[in-house]
Amino acid sequence: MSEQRLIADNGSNGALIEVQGLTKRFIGVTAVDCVDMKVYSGELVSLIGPNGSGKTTLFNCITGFLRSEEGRVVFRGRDITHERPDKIVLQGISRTFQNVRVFPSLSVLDNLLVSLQQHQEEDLWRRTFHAPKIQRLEREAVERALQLLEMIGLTDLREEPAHKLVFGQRKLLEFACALIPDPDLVLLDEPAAGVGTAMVEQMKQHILELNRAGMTFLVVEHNMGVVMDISDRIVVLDHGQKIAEGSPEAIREDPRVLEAYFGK
Amino acid sequence: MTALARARPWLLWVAGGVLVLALPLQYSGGYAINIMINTLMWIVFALSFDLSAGHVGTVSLGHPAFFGIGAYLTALLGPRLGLGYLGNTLLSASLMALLALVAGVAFFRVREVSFAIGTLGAVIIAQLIANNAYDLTGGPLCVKGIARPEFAIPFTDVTLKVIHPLQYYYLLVPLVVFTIVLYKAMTSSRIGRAFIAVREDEVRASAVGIRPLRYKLLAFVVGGGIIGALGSFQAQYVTVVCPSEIALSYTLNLLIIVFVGGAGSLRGVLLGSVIFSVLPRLLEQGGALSIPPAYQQVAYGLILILVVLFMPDGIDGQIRRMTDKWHRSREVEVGEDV
Ligand SMILES: Nc1ncnc2c1ncn2[C@@H]1O[C@H](COP(=O)(O)OP(=O)(O)O)[C@@H](O)[C@H]1O
Ligand SMILES: [Mg+2]
Repeated sequence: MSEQRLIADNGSNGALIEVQGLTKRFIGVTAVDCVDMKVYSGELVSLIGPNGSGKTTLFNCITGFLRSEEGRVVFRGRDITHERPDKIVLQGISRTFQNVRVFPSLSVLDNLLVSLQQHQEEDLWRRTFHAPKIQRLEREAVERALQLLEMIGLTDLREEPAHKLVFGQRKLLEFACALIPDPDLVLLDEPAAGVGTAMVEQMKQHILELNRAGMTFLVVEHNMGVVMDISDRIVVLDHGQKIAEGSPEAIREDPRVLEAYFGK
Repeated sequence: MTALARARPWLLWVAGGVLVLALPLQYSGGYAINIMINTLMWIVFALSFDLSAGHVGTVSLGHPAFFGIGAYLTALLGPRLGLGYLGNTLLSASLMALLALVAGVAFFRVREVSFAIGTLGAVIIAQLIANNAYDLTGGPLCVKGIARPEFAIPFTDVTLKVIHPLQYYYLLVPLVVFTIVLYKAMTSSRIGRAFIAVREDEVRASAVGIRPLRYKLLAFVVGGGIIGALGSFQAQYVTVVCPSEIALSYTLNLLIIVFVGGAGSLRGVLLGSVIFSVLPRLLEQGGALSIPPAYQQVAYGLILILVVLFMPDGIDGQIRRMTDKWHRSREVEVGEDV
């Protein structure tokens, strides 16, 4: 069966990822309420909405950390709903966390290497006994890690344990960890939150450059300046529901969005 | 770095190896060699425990079950199957690895505290069974008269029967070497990196493609297998297996060795094993630091409290901080030269 057929069969019309009628309920609150959305290959889509509108929950459902009650997630024509997080990331969906997670006692370099190694080989037997092959993979991994460290400007800190980094540096490191396997889709949860203006600008430039080079992004962000600058398209959530979708210009003027953000 | 400094780890290993092989020859009495065998056994036991506790961060209180059941397997199946030393050891090792796999799949579903309590329960049940299944284990009367290892020497009619403690000592050395090599290989490779990732943040580990369960099981199964082999050695060494071999006091000793020595560190666990195998004997009546029995426990407890209070990441952490400081002070000196 050709890939074209596969995609057509799943009705995702060539979208890289399609979320269909996704619903996630917690006790007393429907955090994500029947959301449909698509992201096409090469796009940079932003997901915005007031606090508690379900953005992070939607990310968690897509990446397998939460189990949705209804709906499905189709990635590259394959249904990945309810798959394990480790399997989903190996298929090409990387993510960062809103509350920045790195491995504190691993060095900056090891944080990057551990984010790539599972993508390089999945066979434990081989990993244990084919030492020369592993050494070659490890060299490639180090090379790639050093490139990314150069990009985010942490080359000098590569041997430091990650807990010694300041918040902004940890954020850059987590970002680089998401990039190192060269994923098809990157989900960023508030990449510009809590860092200084210089670093916001740096993060913005990285995302734009990578997107220009063909990487697809879905970004949750509160900094409207950043959102308006980088997005091809914006999806707006409120109380778990998708209330608007469109170009930055259209979203800026949308009365429903203004109401959600600024009230009546 | 100078050549000497680069070669230092190797020199240390060689010196350590020579020491381990030559030291027992200095003592004719069985008592000293007994202590040395004990020390080697704790090294194997504690390293296997540390794979899970120190590296993957899953602290099981149930490891003595692998030891005791491994010993019982040899005691009960050994005579029936006639496998010999190596066969007995491998049988205990593989069955205990299997038990670890089954127990792991069951227990790793629950979170840390429930995991510890669950494994604790498993030891208590295993000990109850050993105590009460008279027909099988003889209960508190123990299984006695386990055959000592025999080795036919190739191309001759001579059979070497292992009897003296010194012979047992050298019989144990290969298992110690195997354990250290495997521990080192696993923890300093990509697997070791994944272990630490799982220990530090399981959610984040999943997000980079690591399946935490897989690595928890790996460490648990390898550790369980090695401890099973150790139990088999124990049975063939003392030739008696009693329910007390599935003892919670072993768990306590493991916790002390690993967490006072330095969890997740080969050097720390080796040091911890040596110190806490030899120290109690020194405090015993007749030992070098002999003190009245009433004060022995007090002294032991006091040392523990002091170490925990003043060396929170164990003896190994303390050494590391001191050498770090030394390296830094040298860097400064070099810097001023330039
Ligand atoms: N693990 C959870 N358990 C219960 N409720 C949750 C959980 N995670 C999120 N929620 C609730 O779901 C809603 C959406 O939260 P979230 O997805 O974090 O919003 P956002 O990322 O848009 O700020 C909120 O009402 C929040 O309180
Ligand atoms: Mg959020």
